[in-house]
Amino acid sequence: MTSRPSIAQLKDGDSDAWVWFFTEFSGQIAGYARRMGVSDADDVTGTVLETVARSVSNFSGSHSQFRSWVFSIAHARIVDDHRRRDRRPEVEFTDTHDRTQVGPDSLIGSGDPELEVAMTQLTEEQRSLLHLRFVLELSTKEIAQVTDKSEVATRVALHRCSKKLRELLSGGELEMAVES
Amino acid sequence: MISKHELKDRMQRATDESFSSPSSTLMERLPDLVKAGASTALPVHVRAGRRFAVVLGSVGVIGWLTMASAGALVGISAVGKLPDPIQQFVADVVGTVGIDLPDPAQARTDNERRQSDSTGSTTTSSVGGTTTPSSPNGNTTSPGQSGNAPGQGGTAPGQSGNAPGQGGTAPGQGGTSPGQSGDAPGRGGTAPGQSGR
Repeated sequence: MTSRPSIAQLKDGDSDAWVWFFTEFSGQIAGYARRMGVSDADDVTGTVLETVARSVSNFSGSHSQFRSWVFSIAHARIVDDHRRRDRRPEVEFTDTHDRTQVGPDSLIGSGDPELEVAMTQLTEEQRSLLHLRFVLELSTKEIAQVTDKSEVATRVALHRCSKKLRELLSGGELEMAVES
Repeated sequence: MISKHELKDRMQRATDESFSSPSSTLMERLPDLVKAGASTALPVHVRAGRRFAVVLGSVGVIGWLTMASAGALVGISAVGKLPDPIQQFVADVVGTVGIDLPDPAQARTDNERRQSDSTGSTTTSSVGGTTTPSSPNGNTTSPGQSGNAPGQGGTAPGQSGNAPGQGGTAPGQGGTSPGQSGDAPGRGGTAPGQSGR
């Protein structure tokens, strides 16, 4: 694996630096988009990568800030995708469920159906917070930057949704939700 | 309840991070996009100019707010409803451009002057508690003296114009005794050769 390049190398358009960036971030962005119920996660990921490449010359900051910046662009694209689908719902003969929610389609191929069902009980914002914290392992401060909220509000929200998901996975609430 | 650590493991395992690029050449295109983005990015001086414009705009907003406040202040001070120190300040400031506003210091001075003027030109009489203003022709009546001395009316009490019992004409006496005129013969009202003056 290519070693981590500097931000300056990325800004200069160094090919190796961008190979590293592509390898490091593309899968994470796609996973985040998929978790958030984006219908075409690959397309959104491609758009995010292009946006990062086009606007990296305006970025200044550390690697940690760069990571937050990249995921804040991804977050904005995902929110845009949800809004666009809210305005123009794609209704098909066999697909009439709310596509902004994680539905049965997204459980196909998932290694943990129970977790996926539990995630459907959470709001979009809660799913986003949990993914950023537990999968992408961003700090509370970085998550606050990504979601454009205060650090305190982010910490409180994270605590609440983490507790709720753990309760869903541990108790009978999940079974009731699945039955209903 | 499951631990946070377990939750993290489960979430990481369940995340599908596969990515099949919609465009096979996307990875090769990224460095070119960087250069294209850098060329279209605004130069530093343009960005600085925009920042300056934003600052100017905010200054404009502050200016309008200041003007509105000043207008309100002058409006209130024009009716003299402000506390004295503020009223004084506003009157001084606005006075420099020739606008007269009620000035508390000036009003105080005028009051004092008016008071002192009225004290110097009036005579206060302690007798009877009345103040007798000086007459315009200089004829003054000394205190305690009215037009007539007390007890001296135009007519003494008990004395009417005619004494009781004395009519204008004694009874039995006609106005003029026959053969006698009012004046002694040969004696006119005025001595001959003497005029009234």
